[in-house]
Amino acid sequence: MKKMLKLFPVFLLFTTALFAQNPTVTGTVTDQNNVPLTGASVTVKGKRGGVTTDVHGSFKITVPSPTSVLVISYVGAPNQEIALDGRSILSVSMDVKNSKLDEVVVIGYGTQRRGDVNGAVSSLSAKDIADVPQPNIDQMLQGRLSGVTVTQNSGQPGAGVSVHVRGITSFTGSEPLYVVDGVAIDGNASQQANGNSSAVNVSPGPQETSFSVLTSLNPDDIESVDVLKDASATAIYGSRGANGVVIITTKKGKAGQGHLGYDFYYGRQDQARFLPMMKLPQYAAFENNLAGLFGDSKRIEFADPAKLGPGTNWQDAIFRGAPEYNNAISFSGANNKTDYYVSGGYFKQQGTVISSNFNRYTLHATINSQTKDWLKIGASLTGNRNLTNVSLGNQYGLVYLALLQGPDGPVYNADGTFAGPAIINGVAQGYANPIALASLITNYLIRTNAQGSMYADVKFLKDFTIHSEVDGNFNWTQSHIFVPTYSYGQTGFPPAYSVTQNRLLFNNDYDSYWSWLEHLNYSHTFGGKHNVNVLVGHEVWESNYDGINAGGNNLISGNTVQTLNLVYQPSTLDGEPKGSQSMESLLGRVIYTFDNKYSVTANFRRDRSSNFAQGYQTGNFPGVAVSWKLSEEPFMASTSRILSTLKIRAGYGTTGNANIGQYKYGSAINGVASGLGEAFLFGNLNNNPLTWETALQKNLGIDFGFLNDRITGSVEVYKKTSKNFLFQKPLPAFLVGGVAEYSTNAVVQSPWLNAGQIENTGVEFNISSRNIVKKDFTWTTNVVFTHFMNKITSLNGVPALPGYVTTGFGPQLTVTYSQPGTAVGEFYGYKSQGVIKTQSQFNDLLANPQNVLGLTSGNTQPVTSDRTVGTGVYYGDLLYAGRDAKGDPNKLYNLGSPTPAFTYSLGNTFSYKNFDLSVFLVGSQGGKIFNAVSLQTQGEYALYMNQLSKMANYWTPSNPNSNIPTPRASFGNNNLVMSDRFLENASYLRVQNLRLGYTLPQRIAGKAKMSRLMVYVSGQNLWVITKYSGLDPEVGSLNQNPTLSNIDYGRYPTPRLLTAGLNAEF
Amino acid sequence: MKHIKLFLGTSILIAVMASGCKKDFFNRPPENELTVGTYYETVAQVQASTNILYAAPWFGLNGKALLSIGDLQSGNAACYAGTDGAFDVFRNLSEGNGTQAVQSAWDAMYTVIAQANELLINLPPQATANGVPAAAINNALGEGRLMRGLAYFYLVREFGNVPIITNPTSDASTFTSVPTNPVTDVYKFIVQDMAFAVNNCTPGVAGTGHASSNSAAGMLAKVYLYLQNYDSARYFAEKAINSGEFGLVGIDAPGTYTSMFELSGNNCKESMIALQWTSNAGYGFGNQLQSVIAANTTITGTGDGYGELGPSWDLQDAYVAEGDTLTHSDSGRRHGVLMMPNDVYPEIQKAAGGYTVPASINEQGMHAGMKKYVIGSPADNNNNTAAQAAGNNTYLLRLADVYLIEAEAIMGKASGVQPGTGIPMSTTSSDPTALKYLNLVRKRAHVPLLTSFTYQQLLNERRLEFAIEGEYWYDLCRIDGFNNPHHPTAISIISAQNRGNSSGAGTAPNYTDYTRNTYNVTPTDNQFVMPVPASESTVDPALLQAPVPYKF
Repeated sequence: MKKMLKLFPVFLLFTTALFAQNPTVTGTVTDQNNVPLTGASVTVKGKRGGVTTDVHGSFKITVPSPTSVLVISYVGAPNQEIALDGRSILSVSMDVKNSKLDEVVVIGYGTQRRGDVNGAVSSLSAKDIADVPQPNIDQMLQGRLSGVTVTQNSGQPGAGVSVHVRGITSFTGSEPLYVVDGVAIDGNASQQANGNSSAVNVSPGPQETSFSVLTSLNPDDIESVDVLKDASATAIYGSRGANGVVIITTKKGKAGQGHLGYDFYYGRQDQARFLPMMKLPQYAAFENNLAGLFGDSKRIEFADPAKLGPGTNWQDAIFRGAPEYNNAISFSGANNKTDYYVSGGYFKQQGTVISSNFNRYTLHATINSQTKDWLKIGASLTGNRNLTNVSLGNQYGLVYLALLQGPDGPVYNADGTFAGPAIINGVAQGYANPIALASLITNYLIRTNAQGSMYADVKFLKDFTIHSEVDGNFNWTQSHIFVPTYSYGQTGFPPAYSVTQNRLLFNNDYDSYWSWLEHLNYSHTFGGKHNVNVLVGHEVWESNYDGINAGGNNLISGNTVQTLNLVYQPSTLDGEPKGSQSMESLLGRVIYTFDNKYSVTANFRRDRSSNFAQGYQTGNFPGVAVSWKLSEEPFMASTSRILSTLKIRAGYGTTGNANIGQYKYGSAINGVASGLGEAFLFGNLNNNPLTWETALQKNLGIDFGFLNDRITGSVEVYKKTSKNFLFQKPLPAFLVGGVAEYSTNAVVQSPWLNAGQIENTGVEFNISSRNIVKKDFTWTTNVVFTHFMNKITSLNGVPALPGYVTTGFGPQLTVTYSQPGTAVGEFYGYKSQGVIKTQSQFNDLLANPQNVLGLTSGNTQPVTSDRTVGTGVYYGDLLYAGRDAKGDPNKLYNLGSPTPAFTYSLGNTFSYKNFDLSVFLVGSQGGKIFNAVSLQTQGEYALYMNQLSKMANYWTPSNPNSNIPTPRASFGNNNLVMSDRFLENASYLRVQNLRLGYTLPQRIAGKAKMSRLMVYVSGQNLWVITKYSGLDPEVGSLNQNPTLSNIDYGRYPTPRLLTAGLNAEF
Repeated sequence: MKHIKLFLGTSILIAVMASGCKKDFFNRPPENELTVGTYYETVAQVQASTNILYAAPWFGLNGKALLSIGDLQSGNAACYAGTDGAFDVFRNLSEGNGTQAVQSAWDAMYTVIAQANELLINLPPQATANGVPAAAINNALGEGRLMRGLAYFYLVREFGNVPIITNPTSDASTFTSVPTNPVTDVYKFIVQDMAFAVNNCTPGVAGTGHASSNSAAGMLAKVYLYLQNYDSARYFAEKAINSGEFGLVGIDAPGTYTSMFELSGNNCKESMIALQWTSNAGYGFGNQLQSVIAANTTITGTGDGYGELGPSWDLQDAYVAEGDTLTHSDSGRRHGVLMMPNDVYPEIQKAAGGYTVPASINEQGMHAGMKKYVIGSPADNNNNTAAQAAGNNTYLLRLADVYLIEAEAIMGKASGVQPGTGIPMSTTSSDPTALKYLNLVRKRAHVPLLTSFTYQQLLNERRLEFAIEGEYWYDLCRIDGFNNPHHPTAISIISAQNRGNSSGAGTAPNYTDYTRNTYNVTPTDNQFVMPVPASESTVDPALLQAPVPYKF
């Protein structure tokens, strides 16, 4: 490697020295928005032959005389004739008609006109997402692109988002690769080089801790987003493109006078939905009933429930109306040689749950310069800093505690101190006070990031360009948790909760990524009809991470100054997460187009990854795509007035995945603590021949345009097969150990394997229609539809990959079972037959005994009316299907998939004179949610735990029509096993965005020296139509784990947001 | 000229592409971990390699599982109905294959076995190649096999037939059909492992926290007692006793019964095998018993102290019946096991001059609290305790146990019972050796010495001596004879216990003043074996089928 780095400057020197002066004309061709046009043809008037522009819109042509006239032509734009008048450098702007098919699409290591693309690519431009008040670009993609499923995993400010391009294809994370101005960022938060850039759990148990990898990017700086979906498009990214590639290009300065832009909005977020929990009188009566059923004494203070007030509404106490605001300023411009764009942004968001918030500062600059006629150089730099207050996270977090806390306890005592549950008989009559925890515990995450890229394009000979690029990405992450000493409780009782020893945890992590790319481009048109575009490249990257985890207990100095310096007793949690990865790739692509009708793209990439053992490191990833523009054929001429564009595309390709981290093929020994001093644990079983996971994808697409492209769209059908996918073989505990009391510290991890196969098939389409285009009134409509199904076709002998959850402090519950023939993360459990209400149901129970609790073999559940027996079953309990006379365990069923049948969106934009209005709806149809929080909120198994209001209406002989089971003691009782009782329909339709804007007339704006002033009001997440009973039907997957999708743990709900903003240009 | 430039340009480009990166660029072993190839190089490393077998892998047993299986199920402890489900199913022996503590017990023991197996497989070739002396290697292998055997001993007592695994990779591709092995084979395997430990472990090192050859002998004596091989039990018990390595705290060594379960009792003279926890490495590495059973957070000072178990009426009565009065002035054995109203513990809340148990103490409605393994706050323990992670050891074997094993082996031999038949409860012995050891235990407990004893008394002695150490249940399981599927004696003992709590709070002077709720449970024979966790049997259905003989 060192050798290469030494060569690099030498190489640049040579290429720059090589081809100096030539009696030629050079120039660039752009559209009216200064976007380079590739494939524009440049000829000398009156002469045959000519050249076409390259991916950067540049051309070089030899002219017979300095006064020749050049003819520039480009599909969709009127030809331009330009007299040279002695000039040797030209900048040509073409007036390209506004059709989707003419937009420039980034295809990886280059660009193409949408109309020329052979693979499946979805794109979004700045104007599609302008003034959508979302802090992160990944959230903005939701519903906008066909084939791209975006779910917000949490409403927590800064929290992670799941982006799935064409389904779930892997167990090691299915998030796409993001390429921001050439800098690659892995979408799998946990697979980032720095696996530690996440919040730390305050308590054991699953929590959403991953954070959006794109929080570093200010959406205001984004010019376009292109998503490469099929393998023929992504194969050029080889191993890194298996889950799709999202290419994000930032804004560049545009020709003309310099621009100064200022964007501002202010918004207020509110929690739109609350769960109907019991108020105090109902709660008191319910507790009394429960005590009776469980053989406990009734509480004296609940003697007369009707006389009680409403009690504390804990949901009101933790949710708040929360402001957010965004400030972004930019200046940009371009002359014929140099363009520049510089921006700064500040975004501040309070969370709707107390003590959570998010702040971001960004600075971004891009400059490009045609320094010489044969040399173009440019650079892009971004720096940003994020501060997130994480508070307590999801499970056992604030929402969870607020739901379960009884309404009998106050938030504060009369003296203003935090109240806690009463202590009676030595037992706390409730849960920890979420308001107290939120106020007392400090848990924040600071991330600082610098990323940048630099490139040089050297043109030589005719038609050749060498592109040299160096990219870097550097992250510093600091997370900090401090649990102070505290003691609180209700006045008149001993403190319910006290900590006499404070605790500090501190993680400081650093990671770096660099890459170096060289590619040679050749572009030529032979005989006017044969266009060839060749790319050959070499890329190498390395990433490193290193961190320090430290902590300590018992800061005698108190709680004010929270620093490691004051730690009296350091913790042996101290550790150093450290590692690295590297990859080297050769890549090549040929695009051949004949007569603008027939086109073939062939690409190939060869990757070598350090994540595998020597001998297993290399993978080859070819791809090919063809297209045929039928509408260019003479035989279609007769229909061209109606069917203006028709193109058929077919693609086939392979991509790979090596996303497993370092040295997973070998076995490591970890140093851990013990009472005997440093101890050594076996980390995992090894599997040396571990190698690439590959995905094979077939794609068929049709692009169409009707009525002179007033209506355009495309339809895609695909099948994606992932083979030899990488996963950790789930070995049973008897071989390697297993989780015990929430701890897996000493388990010998199962070996990583290449095994199995997943198939995703899907259909997706998008249609854009300019319904009305009048001088004063326009109306456009966008429809996006996405459907996919995934199916595991093989796990190579492993029966299933179970997905476990733990709720409350209960046992591990298997809720999903991904097995051959099912979807990934399919729900699995017992099928309920309703509450036992009738004699005939009861007789059926006696004839075919219930056995859903796995008692010692041969034991069925006792039929008993004693509600203290958790294993018992009787009138009022749930009966489950799949029983038999022998008393065998009840049958387990596949209960449905978390994957929706389809997702869709509908966007309408209207403009009338200076007003514009847009309405954007997104929806998801089908799919199931496992409402895990309802195991508690509808659990009815213990005292001192608030319940959904409807639970008071449980079945009794005198309330014979209720479908709610009668309370039974013990968590995990007959009524609380994993069953369809807790599965709900996940369908929803959301009014995602409604926006009304007004652009001030030029004459008024001009008086303030403004070239443009627009003001708007906007509502985000205004209304959700759903049958789901939880706080929010959009659940996502827990830490992006595909086997734990749509499991609602009392997730931080997405708020409703109202904003007002302005957009000024000077 | 132009051609030369072209040639130079393209050849450099080709050179860059063809040269590629060095092999080293792709060779990336772990940067913050060791590998098998970089360990076992010195005697010190080989000695430290067994440290782990006394710590983290046991974590899942050393909490709810240990107490709910050993003490709640046997009637020593009590809890409410309608807690979080981890405990209350054990109250009426109705745990299922999804019960957390059942899974924890299984998973934790197999975690110990997995770590021991990897050690036994990887250490010998590597350490030998590195020139580590055979004595050090053999000692490590002895410890590895002792702890593996001990883990199987827990498993076989809890689950009966279980699969014997010695090398996970040999079963990694066929794990869906791995059968269980019969109880008798599992015991045979345990005896082999422990006998190896007796022959290979270094003697005299138990004070360092590592098991010695004599520790292994004591444990092997216990296994033989379960097998009702009374001769061998006595032989190995005496080997341990006569080694002189161990002594009773309070008689042969300073301290009291109570202090043995404090931090200061770690690796005391009586300790033969113990789990070695640390308080400053967080959850999973420390002792969490205090967090589970301490009556309140005032005692622990670390926000935990969940008071999840209280001492049953039956246990409280048993101490009274034995002469362990329940008044606070008593400093005997009961004081170290249970907290009664107005008891004083100077070692807790030292800064306040000691902890006086409030008259209203009422853990789980039992008007008493738990004391054994409850050690107090960080300030009381020189900061060697933290939330759910205390630094005190958990005993797996102490000398008092071996004394009582010796007494029982003598009685069992004299009774003439055959393996599979329990010693009758009324069997009486006045064997002087048996009496000597039984009375040493009683003397330390401050209860009257005996001149003869029945098997029932011996069993009761074991119950009171080892209460809240997770032991009584296993005694109840074995008293009807080795591998006997019928448990008439144990059933009669259990069904006579009152497992109820009391109604209401109070500050009554005597614990008998409270009105007791009655709750009786009559187990069936098959409740003496726990079900294989569902997480295991769904993956490997063969675990639910008849056992297959193990190929030794």
